[in-house]
Amino acid sequence: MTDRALHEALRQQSEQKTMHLPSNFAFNTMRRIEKEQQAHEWREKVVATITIVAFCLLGLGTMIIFYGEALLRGFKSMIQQQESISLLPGMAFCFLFLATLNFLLRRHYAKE
Amino acid sequence: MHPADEKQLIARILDGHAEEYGYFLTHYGEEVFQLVVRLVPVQQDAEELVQDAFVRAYDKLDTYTGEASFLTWVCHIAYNLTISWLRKQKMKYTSIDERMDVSDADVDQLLDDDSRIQQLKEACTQLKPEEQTLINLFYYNDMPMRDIAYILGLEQGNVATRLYRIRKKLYLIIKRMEKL
Repeated sequence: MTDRALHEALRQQSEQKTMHLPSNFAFNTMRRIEKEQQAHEWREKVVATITIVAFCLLGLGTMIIFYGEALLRGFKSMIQQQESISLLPGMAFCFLFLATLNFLLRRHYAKE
Repeated sequence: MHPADEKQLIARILDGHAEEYGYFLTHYGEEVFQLVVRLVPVQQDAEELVQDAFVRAYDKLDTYTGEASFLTWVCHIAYNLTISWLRKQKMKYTSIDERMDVSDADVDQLLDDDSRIQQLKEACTQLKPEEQTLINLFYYNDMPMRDIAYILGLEQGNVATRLYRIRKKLYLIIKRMEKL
């Protein structure tokens, strides 16, 4: 079996069709890929932000429900005691130091 | 490009060099297009399907295992997209009772007969898209059975069986055309 005629029929059929991809196909497809990638990254960021905010609110809500009164009492008594207020600058410095460290580390590893 | 080099290039693309994907678009775009355009003979539709196939391949690049060449893999994606697209168009194809008794010698003789080329061309257009793709890949592209099976999502043994049935179907279509 050589199927010579079928071979020839398919060859002629293919050569009759003169359609080809346009020369800017690769460029257009790469642009579409870039756009879809950007949209995908944006969606991921939105989902991550919503998740973080939702969990923060959930945590905060849980703390307020279970420890709200105790925290308020503690805070009031801290303000009333002069010695406790003197701790605030130290705590603020620690917070700023850790926030800066977090920022710098994130920037450093995001580059790699 | 050698499969090992293709895998290296894919690793680089996955590593963040997305612009290097352009190599595959430039080198394989036309071949994938020729596969699609045989089933969808409208330039714009075929072009969109090829683009969809390459975009999907890019999205799933991390799942490419290298069991087939990148071109065969993209052809498989493009073929599936095209078949789904054609199903949505609800196109009608000739149905033939393939249980009819036909001798292999008669089929062989008809498919070898040069005076039947025109009839065969017409008969081929009446085959289902899956069948058209199979005979084109086998006869026109001279593709190995293993790659045809991969593109069509079939077992390698099934390709030969289907080919046998398609040859018989072409014979029956031509005989029916002659009766009309």
